[in-house]
Amino acid sequence: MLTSLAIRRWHAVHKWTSLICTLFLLLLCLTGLPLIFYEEIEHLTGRHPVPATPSGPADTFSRYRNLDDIIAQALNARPGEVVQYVSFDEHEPIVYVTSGVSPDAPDEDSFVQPFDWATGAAIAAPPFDEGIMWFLYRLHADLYLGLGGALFMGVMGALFVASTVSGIVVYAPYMRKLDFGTIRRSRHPRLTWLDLHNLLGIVTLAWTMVVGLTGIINTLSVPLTDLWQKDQLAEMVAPYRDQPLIARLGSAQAAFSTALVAAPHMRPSFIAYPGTPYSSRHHYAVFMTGNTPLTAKLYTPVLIDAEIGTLIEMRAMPWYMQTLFLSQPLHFGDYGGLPLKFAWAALDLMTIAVLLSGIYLWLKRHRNAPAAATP
Amino acid sequence: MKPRHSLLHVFVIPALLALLTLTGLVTALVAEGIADHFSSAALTLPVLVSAVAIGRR
Repeated sequence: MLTSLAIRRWHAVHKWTSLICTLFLLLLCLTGLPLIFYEEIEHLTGRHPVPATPSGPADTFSRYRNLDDIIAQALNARPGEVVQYVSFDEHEPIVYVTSGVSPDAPDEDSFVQPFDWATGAAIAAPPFDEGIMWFLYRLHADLYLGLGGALFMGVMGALFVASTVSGIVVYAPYMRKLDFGTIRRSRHPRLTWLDLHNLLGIVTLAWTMVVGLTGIINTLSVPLTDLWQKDQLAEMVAPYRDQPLIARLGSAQAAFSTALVAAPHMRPSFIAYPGTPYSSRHHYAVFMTGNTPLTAKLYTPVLIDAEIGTLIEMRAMPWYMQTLFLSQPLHFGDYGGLPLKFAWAALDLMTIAVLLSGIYLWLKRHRNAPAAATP
Repeated sequence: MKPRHSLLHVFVIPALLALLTLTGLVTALVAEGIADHFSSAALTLPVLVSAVAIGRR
């Protein structure tokens, strides 16, 4: 049983952690709402590339065009650039070729070209890093401030988790004399709002904790990837560490086929070219994913010698990278069908109501408030 | 004077809702088909419970 002093302390924790993070949380909830339907909105607005003959995700890879031809076509359209990544659409037979002035050119200077894998034809589509959805995504992820912004949002997420935990503690004293779900409709509107705040907060508790914690993990994406590059990737390519960037690249199609043989029950997600942050200066790194809903989120890099096309090594990602990969769907709610997304959106709206009611309760804290109901 | 509820009484429904929510979140991640529907239903439950509580007079 908590003493009245302990309860007052928990109240203070709840009040201050909430006050600091509420405006940022509101921004996250508002921008996160359309992001749940990112794919659907991109399709509806015609921003997602559509192949000439959509036929579901690419499966029997032998019936598709040779990747080397597609890559040559992409480079012809971007003279003076080199390929950085070749990636494969999860739902349709589309190949995306990312190129830049150098293998390690930053993402914002890279150019992505989508191709119909079945016909080899380029697909006209607006750039991926433009449009309202991209704007909302950047605002949500890092406030357009890069790593600093992402880490700042991570701190706000940690405060939100602290606010939620302290909210659970202070929920109990209020509910000792009330039945679950009671909404008091008295002449004090603040009491009604307090009950609503408590009800919506406690029923969305598990969801907000999961979305909050996975959000914090997602803000650590860059440092965790850096750690993997310096730890496991460096270990995998250690024998090639002092070699210069490979001068004559072998076939990407051959590397792709080698990876398929090495991991027959997996699907290719993307190929990182030599010199990019996801490979060495001497290898293609083909990132494979599993075929089940769970393993489809987990990547396994297959290193292929970029000159002669032989398999070098295949190694599962470490636990911290697997945690990061699983955190992404659990944060954005984009891993189920539309009904799941609608439920996700409803929970997001309820969280917005909790945040707004919290602001209201704080603003009205000294007016018409019975002492027993002061948070 | 109304009697005070025990902590168990205060938290039993929220704990059940939290358990169902977590089960729903994980189910959709590890399985397909009918599991997706279960998952959506589990995540909709907190919404329905709130709607009933708010709509009650």
